[in-house]
Amino acid sequence: MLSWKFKLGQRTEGKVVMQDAIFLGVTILFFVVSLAYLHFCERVR
Amino acid sequence: MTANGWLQIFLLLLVVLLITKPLGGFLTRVFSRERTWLDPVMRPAERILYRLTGVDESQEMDWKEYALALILFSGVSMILLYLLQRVQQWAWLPWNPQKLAGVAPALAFNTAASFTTNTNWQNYVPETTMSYLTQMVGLAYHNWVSAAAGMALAIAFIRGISRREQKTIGNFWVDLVRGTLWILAPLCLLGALLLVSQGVVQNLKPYDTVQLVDPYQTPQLGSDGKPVNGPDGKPVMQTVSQQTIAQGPTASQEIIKELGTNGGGFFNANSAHPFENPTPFTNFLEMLCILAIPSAFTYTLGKMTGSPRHGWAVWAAMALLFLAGVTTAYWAEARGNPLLTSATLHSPQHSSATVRTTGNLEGKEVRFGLANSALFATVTTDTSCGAVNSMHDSFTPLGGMVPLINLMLSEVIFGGVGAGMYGMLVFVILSVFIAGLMVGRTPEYLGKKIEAYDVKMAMLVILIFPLVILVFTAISVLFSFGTSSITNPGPHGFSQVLYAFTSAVANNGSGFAGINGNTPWYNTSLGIAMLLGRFMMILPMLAIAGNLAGKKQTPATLGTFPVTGPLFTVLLIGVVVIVGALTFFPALSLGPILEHLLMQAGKTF
Repeated sequence: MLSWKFKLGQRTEGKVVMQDAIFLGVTILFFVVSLAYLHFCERVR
Repeated sequence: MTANGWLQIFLLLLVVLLITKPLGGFLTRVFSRERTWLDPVMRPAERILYRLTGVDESQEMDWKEYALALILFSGVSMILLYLLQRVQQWAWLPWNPQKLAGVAPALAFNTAASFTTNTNWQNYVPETTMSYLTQMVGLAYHNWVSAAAGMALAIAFIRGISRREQKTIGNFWVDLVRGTLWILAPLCLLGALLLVSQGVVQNLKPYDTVQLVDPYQTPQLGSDGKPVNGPDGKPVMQTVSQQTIAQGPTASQEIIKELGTNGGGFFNANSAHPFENPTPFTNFLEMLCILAIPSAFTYTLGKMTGSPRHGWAVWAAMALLFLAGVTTAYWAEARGNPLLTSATLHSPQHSSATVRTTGNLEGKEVRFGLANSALFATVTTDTSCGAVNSMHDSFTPLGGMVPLINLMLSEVIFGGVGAGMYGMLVFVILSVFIAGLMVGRTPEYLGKKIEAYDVKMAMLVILIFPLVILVFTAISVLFSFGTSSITNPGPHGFSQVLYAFTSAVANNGSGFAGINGNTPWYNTSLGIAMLLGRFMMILPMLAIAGNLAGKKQTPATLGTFPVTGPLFTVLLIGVVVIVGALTFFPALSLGPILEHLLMQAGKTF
């Protein structure tokens, strides 16, 4: 995803793209879970 | 301890007290959308922002919409900061005179989570990791908006208490913008100029290189970081005759670092660095800026809820807890390490009188000394700031336990900008609930009945905090991926890990400097801990605000527990301390308390 400007070897480049995908995925997942938690806080009444 | 030290401590508290009413009154007018003297400048800017972003400023939100706006805003901001760090080395991006490389993925995630949550935990050395662009556009942006978001949330909570039979608690975007334009912008402009006048640097220059007056020899290090040995087996020595002096736009970030209770240093040494904190005046100003807005919010609480005495009762609870903390830290540091004292008593270079008055100066900037180091450590951990002018890792066990306990009390002693107020209000609700239980009647808070849902949400806020800290700490001390970062053995090493996760979940950001946090485990786990500590506590808090706003006003009777006097202040302090003590006492026993007892028995770590 961001690899095209990184002047890295092919293997390293692959690892970087994978790590970027993981950390961006974790971030998005966290905020999706937050929405579910918001729903929980409303429904726990 | 000296009279001069105590004078400076009480002077700071006095000035904080003096600015609480005027600043709190200004906050009230700004968030109530009353006319202020800044309107001719800020109102047109505000209108332009709403027009550009399509925000309808007359549209109010219920608590779920308010929370949703916060989540979306924070999520997008965090992703943008992550991406900026990853691409900062691109040649066409400006302000990277040192040609610093892109930040590694795990570290970029940790830093993005850290600044989005107002934590500013730093697993990196800023001057060798972040370009000026990342510092100014990425990190400083978050310093501003995370602080403004905290203020918005506190105001939303106060509106929840003060409104009657309404569904809405304000508009997140309006509160965010007004907090930024009316509160942070003018104070930062004034404060940054004051800092520059004292010698804090503000430029976009490449780093300076200077010749050392007294060159020195040091072992040459290989690529693995270990000394290189020559053919004779002895380390190869090299002469160091130059020093690199880091530069940058420091003053503009230094002031928001304190005013926004962010704490992330422009330089690695944070407020111990002479370019961040050059004089006794800047040291005082920085501590004052950290406490200013959180303290003012107590007056805003009283003013907006129509009960000024309630605001002062909360302020008194905060001030007493603050004094208890700074007294303990100052006493412990002035007392010093008894093992060191007894060892140096036999040294011909030190008279016993010198040793007795020196105290524990390890890890402290001698420009500030004991009192201002203990005071700064207390101020920065009472609030969610995390800036440091001394290394908490080098405090005595009991002195270091004070910052740790301040964090464990959820940073409600003045607290972060906004975050301290809404955190304390959760404890207020719990206090009122306990008082109601004691007299056997439905608890009321400023005319609102506190019911099962409010207490459920309050307990959710209070329980998530220790749960995240203790689970992550336990995992870290059980496995090698966690213990390998510890730099001191025994209870001190445990304290390093406990402090790291407490600081992260409390969104403080200060560290027991010994631990090496830049590892895949700590970058990821601390990042997640910071996110959980911010958002998992904010959402139930907003749920309480929304629920309170919809309630009817109940007239006070003789049986209503008053929340305006010393009895309430004492009860509130008791609840804050007992909840903190009960939850964390076992962990403290394994860390600083055990370390103190072993130190008395002649063993240090």
